[in-house]
Amino acid sequence: MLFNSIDFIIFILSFIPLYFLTKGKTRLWLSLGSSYLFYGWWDYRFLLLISVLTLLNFYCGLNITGKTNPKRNYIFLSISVISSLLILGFFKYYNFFTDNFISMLNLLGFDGSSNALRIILPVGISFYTFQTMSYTLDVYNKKIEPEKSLLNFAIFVAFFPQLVAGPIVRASCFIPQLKTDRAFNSEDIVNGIRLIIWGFFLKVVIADSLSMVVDIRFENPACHNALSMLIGVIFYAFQIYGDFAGYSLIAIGVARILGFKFPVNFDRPYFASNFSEFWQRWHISLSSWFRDYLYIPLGGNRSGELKMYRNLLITMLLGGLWHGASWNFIIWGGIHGMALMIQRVWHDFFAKKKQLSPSSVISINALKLLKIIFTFSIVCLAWVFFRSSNLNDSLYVIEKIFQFEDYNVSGVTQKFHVIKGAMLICILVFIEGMSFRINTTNLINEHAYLTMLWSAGLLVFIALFGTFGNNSFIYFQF
Amino acid sequence: MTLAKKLITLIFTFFLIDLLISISLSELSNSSKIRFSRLYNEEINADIVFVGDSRGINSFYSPYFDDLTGLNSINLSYNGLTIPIVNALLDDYLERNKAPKIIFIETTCLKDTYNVLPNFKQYMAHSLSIKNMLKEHYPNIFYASFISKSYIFNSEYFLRTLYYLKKNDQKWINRYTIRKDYYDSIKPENNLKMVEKIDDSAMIIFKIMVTEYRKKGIVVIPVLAPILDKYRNETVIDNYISDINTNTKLDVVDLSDAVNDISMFADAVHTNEKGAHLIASKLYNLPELKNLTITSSGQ
Repeated sequence: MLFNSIDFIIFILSFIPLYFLTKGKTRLWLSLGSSYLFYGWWDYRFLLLISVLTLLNFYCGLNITGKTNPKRNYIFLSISVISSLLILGFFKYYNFFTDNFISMLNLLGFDGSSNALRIILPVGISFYTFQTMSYTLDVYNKKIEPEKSLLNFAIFVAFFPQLVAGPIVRASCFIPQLKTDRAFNSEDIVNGIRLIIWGFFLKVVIADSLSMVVDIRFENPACHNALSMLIGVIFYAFQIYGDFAGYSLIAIGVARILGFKFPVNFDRPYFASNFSEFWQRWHISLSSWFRDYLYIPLGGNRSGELKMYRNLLITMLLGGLWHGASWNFIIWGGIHGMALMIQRVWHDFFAKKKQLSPSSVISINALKLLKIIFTFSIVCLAWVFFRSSNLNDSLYVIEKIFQFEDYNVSGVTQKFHVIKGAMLICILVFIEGMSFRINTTNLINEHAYLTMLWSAGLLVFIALFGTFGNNSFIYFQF
Repeated sequence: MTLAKKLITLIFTFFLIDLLISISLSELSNSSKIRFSRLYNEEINADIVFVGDSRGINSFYSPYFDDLTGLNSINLSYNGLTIPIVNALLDDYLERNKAPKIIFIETTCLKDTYNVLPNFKQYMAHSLSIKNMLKEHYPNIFYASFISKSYIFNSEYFLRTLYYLKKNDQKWINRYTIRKDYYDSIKPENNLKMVEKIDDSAMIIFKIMVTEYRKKGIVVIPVLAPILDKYRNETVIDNYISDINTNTKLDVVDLSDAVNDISMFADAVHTNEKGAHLIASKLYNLPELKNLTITSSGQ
């Protein structure tokens, strides 16, 4: 079920009144049943998968509590993590490995069968497996107590707002909120609606409008000149941001209406002036997951510089692989890993020695702007790999852009969509830029009429500029 | 402020902003110089009307055609336009204007689909046919336009309406040339769909149109605009043309092989301005047009 579909509107409008009319266990059962309905709407067969993962991690969590037998705890942790990874690996990487294996066989002159089994990727599997893994790891590390109620735990795994594309919510944040009935709170409802409207703006106005320009360019890069492709790449950066941040905001907004407070998942990432800041602003729930459960356990930055660089690279490569089994995603992760490493080297060798003393505020701002543009440019370069259908297309696009020929405005196709897209990006950047100067949240919270005016204006803007057509969310494929 | 008050304020403000914006945009739409705004708000009374999809836009360059013939023409083609919508637009045209002498129709619009129809929702108030077609084929869009009046201006077409607010849209044509690497990458089998078999339903609509226009003394000339050499397949094109001939008893002006110089193409399926000039001179030599120009100059 897509958030931007009539099905979902009917679903949520039926669910919310029932949710607030019920209490205690009834409400929890209703939440679980609705979450399973939401997930099963896509393909009911995978309800079995989510149920198995829930039972497995719940059982393992209960058995990681023994204070006297650390070995037993470790065994149950291993069962939980390995089986989650195996399930994830099977569904996500089976096709990749068989395809590569068949290609290798063909290359060696053997007849690699092309009739290999094709596996369907269950929607949201990467999100809910990471969520359940974080739970058992936190229990093992004694950060949280194991959950005793299977019902609560099942809701934690399958809660519909964030089930298929995050944010990846930690058990320490979510499960305690399940233990008390969330009261009907008008402030939560208004804030939830505000978040949902902004989320829809990002998805329907920004992402879906830009996708019309982006898709046609990446479908056949040879049809477009360098300027046209450069526009496609920049638009994709904002498309994926609008799409993913939009989904997260709708998820957080729906949860807020139901009384749950989920952490922010995107915080104006394209205003980042370096790569570590970018990862503190982009897909925060995933980047913090990798930081806490991979980068730090690998040693983080505690075991010397070389190991820190290695850890950064491993984390980012696996971050790329998390998105999907393709060399393009691995290269995307690799570019970010390298960028983080180079940034560290730069910082350690240059910035520390030479303290910058800008003569005026203007130069500080200009320097910051340059850094933002530079960071954004490298992020865009990495997006080329993320978006292209294959490695050849990615290299073709990059070669075309960097040849600096063929930058002819008259050769840019879909001019009206391009102008509309550029205008929408400017509006988004302006609004987000302004939010650094004005605390919009406080302003809106303190002035109820202003909130309503802002939300109504956004709704009209969505009606006027939105692209409607049940467009799926990009991160559903992950 | 209570939750109910907040929600009522939100809904009321939404409708108020929406109404004010839609009134302003409607004014802009009515005063625009784009072809269909002119159709619904001005008297045009052209001697010749061109219709078609994007191939119609880029094949029939009416300013050049007017210079060449001394006649007054209008191009009512639009990207993705198909025959049922052409039918509705021409009916609306004939209701508001004198019947033209000739209607040229680019035949690749002979499809019975409605994908482009939502672009015309801003004319629902002007055209009953468009309103009914939207209601039938896009009920969601039709009913959504009752909730938000601004929504009817949410289309690529409306952006063009703004672009041509003060500009003559008849000069709209591709002014670039096909890229060499793109031309080299074209695989012939990909785009023969352009002249594939015409749906029976599309042919029926076209036949009815031709019969009606004949009664009004309008000459209908179907034209198959130039096709890039890589896509040309004589057998397929011959079958396609004979299909139209058999059904409508009209001779198709076959210009599919009239342009062999690839610098006259903007992309794989559209000519550019240079190509359109060549097409205009080919059409100028048609006997129907010669007769018309002689009569006009005689008058």
